[in-house]
Amino acid sequence: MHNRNMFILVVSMLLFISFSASASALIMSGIHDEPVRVSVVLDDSGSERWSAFLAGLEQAGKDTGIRVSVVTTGKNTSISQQYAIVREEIASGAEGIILQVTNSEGTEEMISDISSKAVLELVDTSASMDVDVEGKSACIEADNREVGRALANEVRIALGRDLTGVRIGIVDSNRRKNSNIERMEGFMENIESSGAVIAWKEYSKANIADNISQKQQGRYADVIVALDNTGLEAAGEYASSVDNAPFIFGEGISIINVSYLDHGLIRSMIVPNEYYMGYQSLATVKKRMENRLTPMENEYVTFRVVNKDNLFDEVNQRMLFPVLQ
Amino acid sequence: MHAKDFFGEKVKKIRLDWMLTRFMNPKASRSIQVTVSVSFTIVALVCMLAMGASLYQRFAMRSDKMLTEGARQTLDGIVINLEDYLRSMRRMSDAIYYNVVKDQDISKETPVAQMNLLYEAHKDYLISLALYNSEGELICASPVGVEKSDVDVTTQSWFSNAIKKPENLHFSQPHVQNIFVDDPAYRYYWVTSLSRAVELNNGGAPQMGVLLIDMNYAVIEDMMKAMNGNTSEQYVYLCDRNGSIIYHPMLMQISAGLITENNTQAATYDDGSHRELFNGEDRIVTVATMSYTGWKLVSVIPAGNTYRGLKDIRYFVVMIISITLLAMLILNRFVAERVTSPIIRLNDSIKDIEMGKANPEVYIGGPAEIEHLGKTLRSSYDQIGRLMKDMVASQEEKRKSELDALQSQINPHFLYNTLDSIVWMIEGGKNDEAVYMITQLASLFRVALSGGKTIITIEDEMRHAGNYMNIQKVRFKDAFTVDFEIDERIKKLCTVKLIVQPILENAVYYGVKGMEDGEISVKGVLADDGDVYITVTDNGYGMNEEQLEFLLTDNTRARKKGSGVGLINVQRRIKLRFGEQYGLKIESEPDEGTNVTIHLPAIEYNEENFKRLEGGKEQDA
Repeated sequence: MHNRNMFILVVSMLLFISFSASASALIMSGIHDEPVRVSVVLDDSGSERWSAFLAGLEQAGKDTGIRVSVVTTGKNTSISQQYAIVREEIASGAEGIILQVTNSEGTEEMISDISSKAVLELVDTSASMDVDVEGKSACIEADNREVGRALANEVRIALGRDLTGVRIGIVDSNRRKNSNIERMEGFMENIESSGAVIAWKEYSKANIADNISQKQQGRYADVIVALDNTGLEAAGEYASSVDNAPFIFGEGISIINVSYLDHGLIRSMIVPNEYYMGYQSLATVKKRMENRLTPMENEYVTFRVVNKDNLFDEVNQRMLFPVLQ
Repeated sequence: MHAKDFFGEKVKKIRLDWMLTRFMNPKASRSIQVTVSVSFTIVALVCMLAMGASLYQRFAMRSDKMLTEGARQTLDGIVINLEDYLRSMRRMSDAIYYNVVKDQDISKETPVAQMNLLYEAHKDYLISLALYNSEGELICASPVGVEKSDVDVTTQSWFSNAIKKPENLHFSQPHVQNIFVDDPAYRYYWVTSLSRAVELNNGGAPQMGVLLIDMNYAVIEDMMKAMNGNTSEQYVYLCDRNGSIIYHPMLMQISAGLITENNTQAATYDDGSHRELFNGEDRIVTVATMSYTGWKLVSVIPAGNTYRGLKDIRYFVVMIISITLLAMLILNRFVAERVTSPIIRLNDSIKDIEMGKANPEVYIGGPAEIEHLGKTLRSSYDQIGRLMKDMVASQEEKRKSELDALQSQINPHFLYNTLDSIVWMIEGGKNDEAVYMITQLASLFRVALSGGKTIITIEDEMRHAGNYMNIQKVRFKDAFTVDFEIDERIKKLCTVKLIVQPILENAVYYGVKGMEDGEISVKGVLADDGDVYITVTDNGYGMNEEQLEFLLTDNTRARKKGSGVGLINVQRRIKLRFGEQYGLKIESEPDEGTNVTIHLPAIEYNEENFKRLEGGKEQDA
């Protein structure tokens, strides 16, 4: 009898708890929680080169219900400025940070600090960091060494296997970024056996087109290889200003670069899938927020080699022109 | 281990045993309250589930119907808008062709002015208008644009399709316009091309040409976006008759490989709603085909969408189920208690009876059936009580009769011999001896009768034994001696009458008779164990083991001689009155003698004990 009464009491209690919980949930569901906010800090956030990335980010925001806040930044923001921006964002309630560092060196302390306060996802380029056993941050980028190799391949496809005597100028608008360093390494690995020589390297961040022009006047390069979108735009600008422009290859995504490619100024362009990068960066942050015990993992996005012939392919159209005009 | 822990462990073990018994043996008896309660709960649950399943079925059907109907209406709305838009584009194409191009000799003047007018009138929906000859050379375009130097339009699908099927108007897949240069703004436009073959008048000579209307894809996208603006997982996409996607709200995710769409299959569906399983997801797909273009609008509703989107309803359902089950549990318990309470009370009455409670109160109440059972139980109990009393009385009567019968078994032969001896004494002038004998005989009978009493004092019993031995000594001319040694403390204790005399009789007839120096001694003591032991010892011939064995079992042997009240009768009377632990113990050796011990309880002879023993209560106690 005692056992039976105890059983009924326990069942009644459970049912009452279930009733109370569901009633509370029903009442609480009417009260909308403040959505989770993730801040996105990019170099030169207003640049058109981020169109695909931001389109992906926006779609991921819709799908995940996360409020995405893209911080307005100017060109060539320093790493300390980025750090200050991120701290402000965290202080104002951002629970996740998507960050494109402008300098991959000496970022250990900053990354450690940010990842201890918010979910951190690096995009476009990796950065120096302490050993992160817990996987509190991750990076999504293209396989930049492969991008460099692909650029070298494109040069060799365009000019032949034997490049003896061919002079190459390299434009690297930010040699402090790991992505650019890796692209350079990949390119050099693949080009050195061709017999081509490096005529010059341009590392400036501003007035790049003018500097290229000066370098070309000094020692003319038959081929200009730009390791990033900014450098490629500058190379395109330079090419558009001269009559006999050299062959230009590079990594890029902006509509200006597409236009240069369309006009034949750029011979071939490596285009990372930045829509996927934008979408997946937020998806990874969301995943980490839902399960803090699962370590975040680095991810590579694919890239495509685009030239004038395949510029308007169905797939390339989607990648290069994600936003309607 | 602490006593508390030990007790706790025991309780746990008992509970575990109880649960194991319940689960392992479902046929184990259950209380009626549990049975009723469980039955009610099962019936109520089955009813609830049946009703819930029925309601769910109806709800699901209605939801599906509503969703399907809603999707169909949505699609109809978009179809009308899109068809209006596409129709207006076709009309414009017709207008340019039949009203402008057909009448114009392009060798003299291009129809660019009229095209500009039409462009201006529809520029919200258009990107450009262009007229090409059959070689793909641009004749005119509006707005005026610079053609890309190295573009060969003949390789573009809109051109080749128009040339291939000149009788049709051709709508292309959305694509980025790749014809004109828009340098300053670096702009690229997503367009859907409407192309047709046209007949050109080139200086009087007919010539094939292609009229191109590049429609602004943003118009179609805006229409479709408006339909996909809700937060549910329902969406609408547009594909051509081959399943190639024209618009999809998640086209970029599809392009990026993040998701997949069943568009090729959907293109084969007829108009209407279909149920499909795609990527393990059950979906309701509604298709509407647009006229002329053959484009298909596809609405996709994940079947789970109905419930996933309605989070509040889930909480509500859980709340209702919880409160219903709780109410059901309480109500069932209450009803079961009400129904079973009289039965339980009646059962308690039966338990009281089983426990032997004195004058148990039998519950009579509750419903008519239970009341009737109570009354019947009360009546049966009363009747059983009466029968028991009658049986006890009958048994007592029977025992008393048996005792009386045993006591009356004094052999008349002894009386005859004694009286014969008295006659001989009187005839021989031995009057004093005769008087002595008569006195002893009278005393013997007085004790034997004892006013009908069965229980007398040990003192009286010894007197009776003494009288008997005095008579026998006279009869046997003092051939043996008798010695009585009785502890004073036992003289006032109770005994069954006539138990010593049969032993003495046996001692005389089987022991010392015929001996010259026969000795019989009678000793009565109160032993250390609190019981009374009366020992009759003779130095007679004794008995062998065979005789001893039958002495207390064979009723026939004792009656051959003596008073006829055999030892077996003495044994039975003592046990009947005082219990099985009391009685006789006989020890004998041939030529050594016999020792008979009577074992009795030490019960003081008073009114209360007398009545109790007379009523045969000692044995019951």
